[in-house]
Amino acid sequence: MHKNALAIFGGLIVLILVLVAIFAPYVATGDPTAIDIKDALSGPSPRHILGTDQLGRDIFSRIIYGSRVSLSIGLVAVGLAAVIGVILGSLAGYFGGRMDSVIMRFVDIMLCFPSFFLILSVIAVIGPSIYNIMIIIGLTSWMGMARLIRAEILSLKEREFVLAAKVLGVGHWKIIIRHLIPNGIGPVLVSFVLGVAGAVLVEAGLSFLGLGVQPPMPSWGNILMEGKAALGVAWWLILFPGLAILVTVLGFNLLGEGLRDMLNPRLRR
Amino acid sequence: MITFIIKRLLSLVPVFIGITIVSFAVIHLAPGQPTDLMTQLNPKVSLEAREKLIKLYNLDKPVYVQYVDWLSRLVRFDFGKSFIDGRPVIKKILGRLPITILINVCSMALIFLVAIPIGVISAVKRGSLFDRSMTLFVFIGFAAPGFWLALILMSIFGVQLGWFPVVGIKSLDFEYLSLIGKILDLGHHLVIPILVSAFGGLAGISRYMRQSMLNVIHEDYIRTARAKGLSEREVIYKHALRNALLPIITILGLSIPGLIGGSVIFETIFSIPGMGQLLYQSVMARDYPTVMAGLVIGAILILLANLIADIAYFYVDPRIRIGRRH
Amino acid sequence: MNLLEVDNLVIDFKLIGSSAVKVVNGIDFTVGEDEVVGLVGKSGCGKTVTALSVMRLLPPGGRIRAGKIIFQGTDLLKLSAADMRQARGKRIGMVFQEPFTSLNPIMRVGEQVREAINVHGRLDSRVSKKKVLELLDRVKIAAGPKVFYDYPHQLSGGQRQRIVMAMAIALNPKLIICDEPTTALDVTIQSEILKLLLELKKELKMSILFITHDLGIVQEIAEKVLVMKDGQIVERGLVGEILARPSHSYTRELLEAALKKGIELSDRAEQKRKIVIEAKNISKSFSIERGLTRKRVGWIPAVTSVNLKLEKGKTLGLVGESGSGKTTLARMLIGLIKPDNGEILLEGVPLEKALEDKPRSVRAMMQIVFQDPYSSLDPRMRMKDIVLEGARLSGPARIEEENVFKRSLEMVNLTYSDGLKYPHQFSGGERQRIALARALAVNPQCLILDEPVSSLDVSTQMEILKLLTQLQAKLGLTYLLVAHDLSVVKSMSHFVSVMYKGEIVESSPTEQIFHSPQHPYTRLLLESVPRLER
Repeated sequence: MHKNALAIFGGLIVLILVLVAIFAPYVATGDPTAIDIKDALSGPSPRHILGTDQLGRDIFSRIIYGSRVSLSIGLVAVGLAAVIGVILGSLAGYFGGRMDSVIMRFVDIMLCFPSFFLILSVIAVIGPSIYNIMIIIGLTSWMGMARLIRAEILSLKEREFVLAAKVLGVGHWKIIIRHLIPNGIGPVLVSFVLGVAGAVLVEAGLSFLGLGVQPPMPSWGNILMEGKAALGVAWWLILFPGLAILVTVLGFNLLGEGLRDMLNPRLRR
Repeated sequence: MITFIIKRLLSLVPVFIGITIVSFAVIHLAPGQPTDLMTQLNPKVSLEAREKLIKLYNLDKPVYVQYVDWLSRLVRFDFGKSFIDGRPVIKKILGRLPITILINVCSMALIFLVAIPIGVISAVKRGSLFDRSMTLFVFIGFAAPGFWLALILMSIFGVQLGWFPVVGIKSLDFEYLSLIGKILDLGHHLVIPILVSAFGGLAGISRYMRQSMLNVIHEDYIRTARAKGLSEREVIYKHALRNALLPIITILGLSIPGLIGGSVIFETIFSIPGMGQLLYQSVMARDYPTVMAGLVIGAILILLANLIADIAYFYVDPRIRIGRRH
Repeated sequence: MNLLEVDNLVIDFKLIGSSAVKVVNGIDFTVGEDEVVGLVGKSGCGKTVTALSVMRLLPPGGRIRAGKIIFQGTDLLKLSAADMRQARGKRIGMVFQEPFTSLNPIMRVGEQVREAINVHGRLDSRVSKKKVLELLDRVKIAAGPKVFYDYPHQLSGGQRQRIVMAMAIALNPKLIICDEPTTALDVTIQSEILKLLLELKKELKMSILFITHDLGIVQEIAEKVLVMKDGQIVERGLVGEILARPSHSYTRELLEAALKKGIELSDRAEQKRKIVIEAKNISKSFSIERGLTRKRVGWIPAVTSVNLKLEKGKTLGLVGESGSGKTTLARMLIGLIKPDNGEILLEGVPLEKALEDKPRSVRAMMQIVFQDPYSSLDPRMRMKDIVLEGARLSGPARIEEENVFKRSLEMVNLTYSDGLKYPHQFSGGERQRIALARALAVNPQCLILDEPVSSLDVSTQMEILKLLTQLQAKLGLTYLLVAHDLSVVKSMSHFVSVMYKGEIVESSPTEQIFHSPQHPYTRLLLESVPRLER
């Protein structure tokens, strides 16, 4: 099936990325932080497949190691967001009333902020470290998932299998954990996968502006930062890290969209 | 209608307060005093001067007092003075706002005019070459980082080919141009920024439009319309399209925060003197009054945009406008 | 010449990724001028697809493989798309099943009818408006000038269906195809719509091809009947003859199921009367919240001053149409909703108190089976876990669990080995039995059955009702049977209470309700049911 093929393709990309990140030392051709001024700003060559930067570091290796940064930040940040979002959204959706109003107000408030700018401000205040970046992205991206799980729970809450469980005497928490969340988690899962793509873009943007991963640790964003400085001179500093981001984000997007399509028709039964 | 708007505005007050609290809290997360950066780097600043500075900005008072103080000034549109140059923050922001708004409005317009037809045609001609190539285009548009595209366009069209300027919004001889010349010059400078800014949104909206159209086409009332003998054209444009556009209004509203956030990166890359660039510079320079003001104003703009989207939806969907009779 | 002649029609469905499925397997029939033909069969037998194919409006994936559809001498299947479009509306009209989604929600109703008029030749707007009002009048919509400017959601289901009918007859087509147009409506509204259809047929001299699963409707409205099963027509003839002397076994099956024959009520007259559940003067209202600020603008009384008694070992049938409050009442009795006033006594003890003090024992006393077998089971749980969910709460040991499971399955005729399957792998009837097993696993004395068979096919309905009666006889269960279908209520209940707009208007033993109804609403209800029995 046409649709499924795209999802599988996306999944494949993600798988390859994860493997590359884990086995980076074996895939890269050298030390990503090795400085070699003689070779600075040279284009693709047999020795440096994707060229070198201002300090002569091998771009190919830097991009390979950069995958570790992007993936780990993406997965951890969105994982954090998912936990926060699911908990808050479930509470709001199930118990309703005051709790719902307060939580949703909070969601509305957070949604008003242009998130990238908020993240930027916070990072500037508390300093750019990988952990800070993960936490901040996590703390600013949970709102979507909260809304999704709340919407699912609101519609599932009145469904007869939930009412039947209530009549059988099953308690609130068991109902939420055993019935509501497993049945409602679908859209959240899709959101998670798509969220990783988004987080990768945010991290790249932060690093590009100098407030993300700091050199010498390689990140696709900070390589692009160097590329901007060398605009018109070293096209390889722009093209390759950008392609890396593109492929990564594309992979997660395809996988996410594919999951979304897979979840839908089943509901029509 | 008016009562509806007033009621909505009132319900937004708690949200506004929440926004101010978050903005305030974010800045005060840092250890030490906000003025430290200013004073510590300069050994010549005496202890006395440092204390004077602290008193000037009320930093010796407890946090909640500072907050209330700031809030009360805020509602009078007094955002304090910038740490960098001492100018009133509000003046700095107002000076930068127009160009940012111009770029974003043009982006939105571009998105609207291009993405919606693409979405509709993709849905109607589902599975065709057009649909599939548009899907490809959309996915790439989603995946490519905006600032990367900006760099590529800049290096190709700006540096290599020299068709478009890559920096700023006016040429050096701007002052000497006629009115028409000025407008054209402005436009010339803004082409790439607007394109880049709109690109991501274009991809997203055309996808949503396609999805919405597909959902609507399978609805029962479309079948009824066909059973009446209406032409395919009337069925699609008169019945399906109008219904499919409804959720898009909300989506458009939701994509506004993205555009405003994107301004930060794009204006910095293209050296456009807009609000985004101002905020970036303020953040880097730790000019906290400006940063806080930026957060609040950015959030309010988004709030207003969503309110307008809600009102528009209210107007357009009769099911919400007119309640049930039974 | 016949108005419509269908000759050896074959239709299959091919979805992407699966093989083609034959849905209609070579059928032929005719519809004459000025004639009403009923096409009857279970859901899935191919009748709707047949109807849609005449209009060439098959859903995606459907293909007409062979055959001819000859209408007024022309083979519709050979027409170009443009010519076919000409025929729609002008020569053939169609009324669909779902009144709630058949109209464009953001277009005024008058405009939509006007569209039907203008399709094959635009009229002056004043002229067309007049025509619309005439049509609205003809389909008996009151306050036509006002309704003209209404949106669909402001009208009731019955009104919407009339609008759809107005659109269908706008250009005086010779044939109207009706696909289960009354299934989604209340019985009283249904009878009005059927009457209207017959009147229109007479006035406009048109033929009707009426698709339904309800033999009672067929008797009311059709002259000829075609019985369809698995894509083929198994019997055809005049309505009176077929229903009196059905020759095909399937027709006989349908007839028996419709008459609910073969259900024997337990009737142990010697048993002392014991009241299990009693409701005293209970009421419940819901608030109406309007707009985005959710301001309370008023109250809807759902249940008003209801008194009810459930006798041990007997079935009380609670009958009412949609909006009568019967579901709210059932849910109050089981403790899901709290009444605003009055009290509910469970064997003499107030329900509210019992739920607070000893919730487990209350839950063990009464259980509920819901209407929709598709949503009453958690789609992600295996059958065994579903059945044992309630039983597991009291923490029995593994071995006991097995016994409870086996016993529950036995009672409802399900197979042990199916325990690992998921709900979607079972049929509607089987799912309802799983729901029943789940309820029985905690040994309740009393079962609230909220429309337990309305979503099932006629023959499956019979199975479930028979099962319920057997269980009642075996275990001495007390039932509250909530239903809108009178034949279901009649076949299973010892007593019947009739509900209308939140109040109980009449309460008597079953025989009495059906043979000498007192309240005018009860009488209306009984008259509206398309009756098979004479």
